[in-house]
Amino acid sequence: MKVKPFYAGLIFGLIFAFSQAFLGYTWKDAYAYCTIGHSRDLMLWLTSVFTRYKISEYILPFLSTFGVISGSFIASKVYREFHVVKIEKSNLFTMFALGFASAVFGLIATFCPVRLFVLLSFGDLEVLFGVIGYMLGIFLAIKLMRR
Amino acid sequence: MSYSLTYFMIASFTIGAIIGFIGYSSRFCTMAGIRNLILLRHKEMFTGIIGILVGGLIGFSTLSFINPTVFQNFPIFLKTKLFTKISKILLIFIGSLGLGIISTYVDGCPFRMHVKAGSGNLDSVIYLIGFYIGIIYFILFLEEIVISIFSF
Repeated sequence: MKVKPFYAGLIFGLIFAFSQAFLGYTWKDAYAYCTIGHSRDLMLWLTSVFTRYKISEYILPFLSTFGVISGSFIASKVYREFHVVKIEKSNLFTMFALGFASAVFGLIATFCPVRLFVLLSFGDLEVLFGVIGYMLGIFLAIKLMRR
Repeated sequence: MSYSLTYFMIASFTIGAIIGFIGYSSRFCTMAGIRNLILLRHKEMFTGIIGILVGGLIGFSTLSFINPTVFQNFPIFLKTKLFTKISKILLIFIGSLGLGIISTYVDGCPFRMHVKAGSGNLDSVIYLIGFYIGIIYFILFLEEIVISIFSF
């Protein structure tokens, strides 16, 4: 680890707050970065381009998830740790299905785990149920995997 | 709206790139923090979550202290009525329960899977393909069903 997780989290929180203030993300609370919300907006925007799907004016082509991918690519090249990990063939369908399911659950909750904690720091106490649910989910999955 | 589409595209891409760089360098993951705390009693990853809470609190409160109109409803629990809609709380709970279970199975929260995909893990690339197809499927077919079930 080149950066300690505490400092990474601190920088994340500050970046989210300042970019929310200065870049004009005003229509939603704590919406500077959200893995699920931003990719949903991008996909909605794309579907509205290719079909006659109607959208509101606040749906914009956010590229932050692709920014994350390219940022981590640059980092792994800078640290010379980039290597391709090949897929096990038995894993292929499970990973696809789990990705599909995580998108569905994320859209039901309307936030990704990162935005969950940013929303909590923004003062949204309803999200406490989300924190409880997230911890309970991890606990249940550990119990199921240990069997 | 005073900003153009290109502005938002470039701004969000830049923020994402910075976050991705730091996320790779620190191996930040919300799921791993809680899992390591429960399973191994390691606190180091969990400090990342505390860091995000502290950083967000410092940033939001400082900026709204300087200019109160920046965030219209900064402490949400003071500005709006909470806990009025049971259906919303139920949706939040169900969604994050599923996210927690799936994140533990695939060994990373959605943010961490994006970072892993960037550093060359093809498993998480497959996960991301499923992720984006799932988003499109939800928008087109599932959203109305969910709204109609949870409309109380």
